Amino acid sequence: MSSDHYEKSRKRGEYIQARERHLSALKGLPRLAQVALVARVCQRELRHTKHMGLFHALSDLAGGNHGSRLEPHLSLFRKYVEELEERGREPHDDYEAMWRAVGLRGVLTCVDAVPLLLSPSTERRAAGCDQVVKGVKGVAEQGGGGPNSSTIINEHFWGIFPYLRDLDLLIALAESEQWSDDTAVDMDVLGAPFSVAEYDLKAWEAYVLRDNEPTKGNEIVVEIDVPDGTSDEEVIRTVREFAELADGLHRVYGGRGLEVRTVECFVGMSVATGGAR
Amino acid sequence: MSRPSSRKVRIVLQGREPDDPLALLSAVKAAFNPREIEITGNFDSEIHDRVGEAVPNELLETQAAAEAKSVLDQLAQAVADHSRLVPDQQGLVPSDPGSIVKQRRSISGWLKQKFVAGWAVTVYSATRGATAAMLDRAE
Repeated sequence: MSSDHYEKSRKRGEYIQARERHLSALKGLPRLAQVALVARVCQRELRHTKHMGLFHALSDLAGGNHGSRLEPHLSLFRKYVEELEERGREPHDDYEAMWRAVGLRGVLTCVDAVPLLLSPSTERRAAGCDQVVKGVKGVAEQGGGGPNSSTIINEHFWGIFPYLRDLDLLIALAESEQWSDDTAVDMDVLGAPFSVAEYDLKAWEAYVLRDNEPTKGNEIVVEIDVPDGTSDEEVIRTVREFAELADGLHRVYGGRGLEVRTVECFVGMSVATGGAR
Repeated sequence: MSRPSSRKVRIVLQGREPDDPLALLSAVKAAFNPREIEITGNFDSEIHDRVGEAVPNELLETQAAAEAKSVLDQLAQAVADHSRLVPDQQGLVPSDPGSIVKQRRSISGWLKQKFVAGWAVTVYSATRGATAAMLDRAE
């Protein structure tokens, strides 16, 4: 191993240790943002399983839908993890099952903490955060799905990074947009589940492209009702501003920008527009 | 703040790279649907009768499309030029949370300004097939 490689590994190790401590910042987040982080764990780790219902139920919860039913999905998932653990035990020695169970047990630890996160008791919420931190570290450090999993997380063994990025973004958004405990969190604000890490672009790019659902065949549509009396120049300026803002956001989330497919302008309809508070 | 409108503009944007994650389009859509802006109004009294069929304004369409295409191409070119100078920064790397927050704030500010001036902006994501079907129905 070259000294350069060793030095990079050492720096990454130090960075990871420092960042792991940062996970405790989860306690400072509003509660639905904490639930969003748990949903994110499921979004990444369960995507190759039949248990994505757990992610959708948690997304609903984070989005403020208190009627979301978590328990049926959780029971099925718990049973699935226990079966995997059983298959991994001697005398069966199914190593793939064993490693998958190790990572998925971390996911289960996180999800089991959700009732604590939603509790009115400060102590129970703090305990819930500690449990989520333990679960996330478990997912990341213990393999997140085993050596045969196709997750970018295992193959690079730097699984803590994506969750730290999510946490940092949630903290920044909560502060900037003044989220309260009851502020609904749209999971879409977190961006792509898999992103190229800052330090090893070429190695990660293929995994990112493979593990995210591609944008191909999908588009963003904006409909703008133009108030009467607006000049054509102002309409054109508005279209340009929208395109610039949308493109800029796509890029800061790690995308490679947007392009115009069509622009249509209609006249002859009369509707009321506007209003803000 | 509510003003009658007899013109509508519909813009369809797609990812420059088809392999880019779909979640990024969803993130853009989410930013243009902020919680703090609510459409208000007495709709019973303010919805005006539609006056005949909507007619395309082809000149304005062409000008607006050219303007949007030009600005996005310029931005893409600037990024490509920068990538040639700094080969390891070619995209797919999310910026720091501060940049995301800042851009979302710009969008939120722009939306507020538009709503106050009487514009209505609705953003959604759709598959290409769904958009095409919708456009067919509109024609």
